[in-house]
Amino acid sequence: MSRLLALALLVLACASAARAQEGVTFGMSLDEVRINTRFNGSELLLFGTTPSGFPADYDAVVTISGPPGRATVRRKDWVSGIWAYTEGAEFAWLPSFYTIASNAPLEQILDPVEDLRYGISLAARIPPPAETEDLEARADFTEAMLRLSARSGRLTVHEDSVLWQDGTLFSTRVQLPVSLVPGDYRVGVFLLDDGRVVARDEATLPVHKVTMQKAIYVAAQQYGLLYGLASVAIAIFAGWLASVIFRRAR
Amino acid sequence: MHFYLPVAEISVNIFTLIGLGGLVGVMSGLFGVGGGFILTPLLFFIGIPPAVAVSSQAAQIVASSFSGALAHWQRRTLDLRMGLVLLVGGLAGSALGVWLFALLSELGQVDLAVQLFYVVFLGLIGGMMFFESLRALRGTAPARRKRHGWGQGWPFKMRFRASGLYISAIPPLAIGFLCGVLAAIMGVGGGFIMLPAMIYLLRMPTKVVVGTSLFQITFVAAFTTVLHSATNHTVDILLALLLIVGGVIGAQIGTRFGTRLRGEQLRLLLSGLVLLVCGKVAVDLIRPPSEAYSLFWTPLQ
Repeated sequence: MSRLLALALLVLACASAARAQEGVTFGMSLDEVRINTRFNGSELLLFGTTPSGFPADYDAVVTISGPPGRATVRRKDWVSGIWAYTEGAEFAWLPSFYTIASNAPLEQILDPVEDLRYGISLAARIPPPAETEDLEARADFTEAMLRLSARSGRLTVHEDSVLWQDGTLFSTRVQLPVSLVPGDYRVGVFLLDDGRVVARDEATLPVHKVTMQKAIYVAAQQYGLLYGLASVAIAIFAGWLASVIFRRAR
Repeated sequence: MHFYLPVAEISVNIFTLIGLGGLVGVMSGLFGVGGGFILTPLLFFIGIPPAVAVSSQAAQIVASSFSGALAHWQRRTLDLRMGLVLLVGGLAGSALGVWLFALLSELGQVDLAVQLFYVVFLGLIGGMMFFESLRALRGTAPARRKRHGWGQGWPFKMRFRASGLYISAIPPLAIGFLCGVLAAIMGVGGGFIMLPAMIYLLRMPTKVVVGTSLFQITFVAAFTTVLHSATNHTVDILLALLLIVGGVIGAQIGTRFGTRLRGEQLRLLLSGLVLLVCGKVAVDLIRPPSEAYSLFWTPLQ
């Protein structure tokens, strides 16, 4: 039994050695996203090159994944005269934001096994609602989740937004919506040759609130009671100020 | 001009928010209601997360009702003693209401419960006020002054000088309590329930009712703000301040208009508004939704 285990480990080690890949040299126009008072979304320019620096017939896929979360999708049904939520499905893992940019449709340039391995496409990245056992219901809720997420800009796919120059340089522009949840965003860059990942690399793009936005957020989160009392005091003061001003104005 | 709200985590147009605050402020000054039952759906509509909308507007209601209550205090149309008795009942009631709300959330049907509460109570109160004020305007109402309100022959009698009443403290306590429960479950200040109860059950003069209600709402809303901030961390003070700027201006305008209108006319207007919101919620319950599914996202801690 232990010999068998050792053999399995050896095979695994060999397999991963054979799959060792190169990194990708790439750069981004932002090294962080600062959310201040005037923040209204942002644009990220990402550019990179083939590992050798020479032209190659590669495809490129860029993914950006926001802080993790989970989601519940609920459906309204007609129950004795009114529309009420009846059934729901739990998605145990759904990022706050996920976007895929590529130079061609994923199904043409990405091998399905490689997709599963790296979790690139939406189907490979987001696990189906595990507790929903009925397959038909699972498909319905997944479809609704994808539709609602696409509409709100949470999950987006741009299959023609990566541009290659001379087969050497690639670049893409990614729109970061105003609804960005603060946290560390993972940027993934994959170079594909005939569907297989030949080079990949990762970077972190921190998104955080600054100055007043940060101070207020931290106060609300960490000193809830004091923050609430202060809010009431401010509100009372504003009400008093208004009545004084209006009495003078009369 | 866009502005990023730190707790709501969205960017909003400053003037939209000031305008919404102003609209609700006018109602607050005019009728003595906090306006939560109209502002909440409007804030949802412009994309503020529901939890942030409910708790931040509580802070806004503090400001606008305090400003309105001050104006009534100066005009001597505020029954301080009645307000305090109602408040004691109201705070106890809202504590029970918050507990009931948590229970309903556990059962998973809190949205539906809130909507049904809206339809039933807004419908009942709006309808009752509408027909009464219509009769009063036509001059066919039974002589109101001759009928006595609740609590005439009950124990614990108190003299409410500003209201010209000498009644037991039990009915105002009970009314405050009931309004507190409903207000906490429906996520509003409770003015639209309090006002008719004061007019029809306690038989208070309409002139004193608005100031007294604003006084009571100031405290209930302050209590709600602190409670939400301490437990849910969902009070966005910048959102509240923008609403306040509009709200305090609106409240002053509303108070001034209110003195020019007769009590019956005010009640007719308020009942129309209440019935309108009731109708909207009822239609939303009955009409097939354009999107049957909804997605609720929460971050992993």
